[in-house]
Amino acid sequence: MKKILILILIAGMTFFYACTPDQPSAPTLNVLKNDITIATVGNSLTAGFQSSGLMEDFQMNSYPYLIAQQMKNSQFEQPIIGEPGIGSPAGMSPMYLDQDGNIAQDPLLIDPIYLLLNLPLERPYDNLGVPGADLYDLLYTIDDSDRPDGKSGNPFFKLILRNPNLLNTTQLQQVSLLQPTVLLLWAGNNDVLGAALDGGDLGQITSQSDFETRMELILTQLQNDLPKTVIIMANIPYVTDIPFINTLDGVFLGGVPMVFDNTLQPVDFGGGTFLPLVTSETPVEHITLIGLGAYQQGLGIPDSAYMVDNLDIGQGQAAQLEAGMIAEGLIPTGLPLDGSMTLTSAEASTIKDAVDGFNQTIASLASTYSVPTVDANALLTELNVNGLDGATGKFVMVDPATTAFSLDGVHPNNAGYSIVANAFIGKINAALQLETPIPEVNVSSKLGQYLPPSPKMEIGKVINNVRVLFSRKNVR
Amino acid sequence: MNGKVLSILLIFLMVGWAAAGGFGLYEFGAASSAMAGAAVARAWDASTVFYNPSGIAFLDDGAHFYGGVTLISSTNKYTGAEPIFHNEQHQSVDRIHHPIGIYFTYQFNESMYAGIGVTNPFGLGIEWEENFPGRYVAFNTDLKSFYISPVFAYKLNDSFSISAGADIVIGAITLEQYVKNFDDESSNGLEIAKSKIEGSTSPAVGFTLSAMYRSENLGFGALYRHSVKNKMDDGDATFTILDTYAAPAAASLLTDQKVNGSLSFPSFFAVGMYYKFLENFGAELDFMWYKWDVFNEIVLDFEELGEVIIPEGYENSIQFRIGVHYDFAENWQLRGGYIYDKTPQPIESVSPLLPDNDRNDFSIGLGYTLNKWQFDAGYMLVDFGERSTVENEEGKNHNGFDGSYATIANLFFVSFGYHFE
Repeated sequence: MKKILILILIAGMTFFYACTPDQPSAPTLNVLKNDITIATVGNSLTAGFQSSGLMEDFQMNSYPYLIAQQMKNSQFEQPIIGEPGIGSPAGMSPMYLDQDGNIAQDPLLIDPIYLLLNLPLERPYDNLGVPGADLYDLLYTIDDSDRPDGKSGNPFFKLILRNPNLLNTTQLQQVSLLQPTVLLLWAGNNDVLGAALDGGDLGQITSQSDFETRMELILTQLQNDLPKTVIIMANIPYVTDIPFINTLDGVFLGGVPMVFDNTLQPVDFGGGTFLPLVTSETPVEHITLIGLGAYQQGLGIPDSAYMVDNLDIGQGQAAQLEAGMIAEGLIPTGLPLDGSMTLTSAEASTIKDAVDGFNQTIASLASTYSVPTVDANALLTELNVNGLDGATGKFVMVDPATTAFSLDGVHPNNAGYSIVANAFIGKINAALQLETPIPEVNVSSKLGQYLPPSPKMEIGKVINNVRVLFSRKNVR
Repeated sequence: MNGKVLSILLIFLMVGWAAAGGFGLYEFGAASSAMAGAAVARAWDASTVFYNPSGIAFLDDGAHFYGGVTLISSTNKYTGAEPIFHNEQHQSVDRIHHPIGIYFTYQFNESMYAGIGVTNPFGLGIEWEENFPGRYVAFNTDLKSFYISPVFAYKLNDSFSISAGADIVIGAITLEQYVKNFDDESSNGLEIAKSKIEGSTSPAVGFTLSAMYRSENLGFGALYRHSVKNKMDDGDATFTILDTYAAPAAASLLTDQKVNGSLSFPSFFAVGMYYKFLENFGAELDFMWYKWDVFNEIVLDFEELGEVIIPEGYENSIQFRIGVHYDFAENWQLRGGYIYDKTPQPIESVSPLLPDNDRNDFSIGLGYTLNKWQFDAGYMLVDFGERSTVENEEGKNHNGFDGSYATIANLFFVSFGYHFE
């Protein structure tokens, strides 16, 4: 019996020293749930550019900032531009509505750098969108003077990338320093937009092969530098589906632009007599807002001599028609609208083809690199066809209550950016599988940005408004 | 900075006090412990002073001594949560604790009995490795308690007795930890000092009421032990300022000072039934209910730093104990048992100070009687399993120190008894 006792004792002592727990397995914290950080690279659309400019009021409605707000991320930093904001072209402030409801834009009298309110931030901004940036810029541009193709001089690079203080780094390099949980990449619009804004200047379109190479380089670089980051892209909308290009689409009859009045309706000079505009290129499919400005100064409006020479109209009737136009407040000159103010069918379709090509590249790379992609192209189409969340794609002067575009007719307004934010939020929620999804922005609360206290805006003022502002190439 | 340093410092202290409760022990007699402590319905020896004082009326006539020690070695392992704590693996330093259980009972006459016991129902602690990343939550904790329990029992008839007793309790505590300064909520904090709290409690008194029924083959028992609130007055808080750039600020804030606090041990209620199935085989089943919600909130009062109230949120909990004995030869008894012990600790309080969990305990032991002498020994494996502070991928620990813990405790107990006729 003593042996048993001794055995028990030995067994007990053996357990005593031998029995230890296995190392527990490491649980995984979904840091996304608690602490999602977000960063963005891109162009003016990402920067929150509105009404030909960048300023704090606009930036508080940039889609990256709206998303950060919905995520309750208070650490999200943008290059905040103080009043009156930095406009385009250089030397101007952003457009605004004056007290009569007219779009106005004033010169900027101080160096833009003094408007950058959080210049000393000791890390890259989370919103690195630079107005005017194209794919080349994302990859290579560090300030305003280093583009070999003559497109230098964009002051926003210096403001947002803050080189050399951030060690001469590009947008992509800076976002790599941030190591965000989520990176939103909406780029490539400026590889085709300029061609449309300048009335079909097709030379401004990046070649398909360059676009492919650059976009793939961007994705490989990001995935190398940000292995843990969820990247979400957006594709490119048709750049001809914007008020800057399509507001005057209603003045065409039988595919030809006609003399129109200040409600943008073709003028019937009696018995169904409409007069075609004088354009330097044909067949015209779109007249830009710059063309509208020129029209108000008389360009494109046939005078009696032009009518006699070109329209098979007799001297007497021509004089009568010219008098009618003058009565309408028009200025007949017989001078053509310049080709930079109009898009021909061929130009429009080349631009559309370019967007399609770029989007095919984006779709195929998105598939290769498993990057969820917001179909911004479909969004804009839907906005124009049926409207989205109560918003429309109409020019602000035509429909101030529901437009999703800002005063420049190119960039979204608060409502438009909310729609973009929600599209990204949907992709983020799906990609991160969040238990508590990020809630969407209430778009309807953002509608009517240009309603009171600026109630006097009405369609009759369209021409007056546009004449001054859109005579400059100031909307990039 | 002031308030933040304070909050971090004091959180650990609070958890420390709570940990004392979670480390409640029940192994104060080798024979009963080998039967998983299922001893509220049957008196085996003088340790019934602890398990159910009414049982002293059913011990053999005369006086009894019973005493022994339990050697406890527990190993705690920690694995840091990914990605913040990088799968880091650490474990506690080997230490052996040795709570005692010493008893003496005396019979006045046929119906009146008295006894006294000395036990350490709270006597454990954890010390982590020096490089443990959670050292600012808990680094070295040591807690001792002494219960001196005089009891009186009255035998109403041959099969029923009742008892009342007092618990005179004193405790001593040592808590060491690193102190971090958190500049803002998102920072990882900067270690600025090492702190040490030492103190002992003034004697506090609790009471016990119990009853026991016993027939030839059947036993019933019930016990209520009231909670004890121990007050620590004039504990010493000392700070060693670490050599960091924040040292000057830390030095001005963290000066050595007195600290007062209190430490409550919960009341509990136990009922059990024993049945002797065969002449040499019997079993007992006990159910226990602990009123742990006294740890809902704890207060510590520093002389300079002020008072801090920390929520702990402990929940009442239960235990089941099953013990069996098999008397396989004359004078020899083989014992075994199993305990299911539900943790009172909410996930938010699971920390390096006490990573508690629902426990499964398995015990085995042997007893030998030689004339007036009794010798008992046994072993218990306390398996805490694995508990993570991450739930649905979300870190729950209220210090933000997340990971998984696994703990196993090995208890080896020996006791001997003597019967004075």
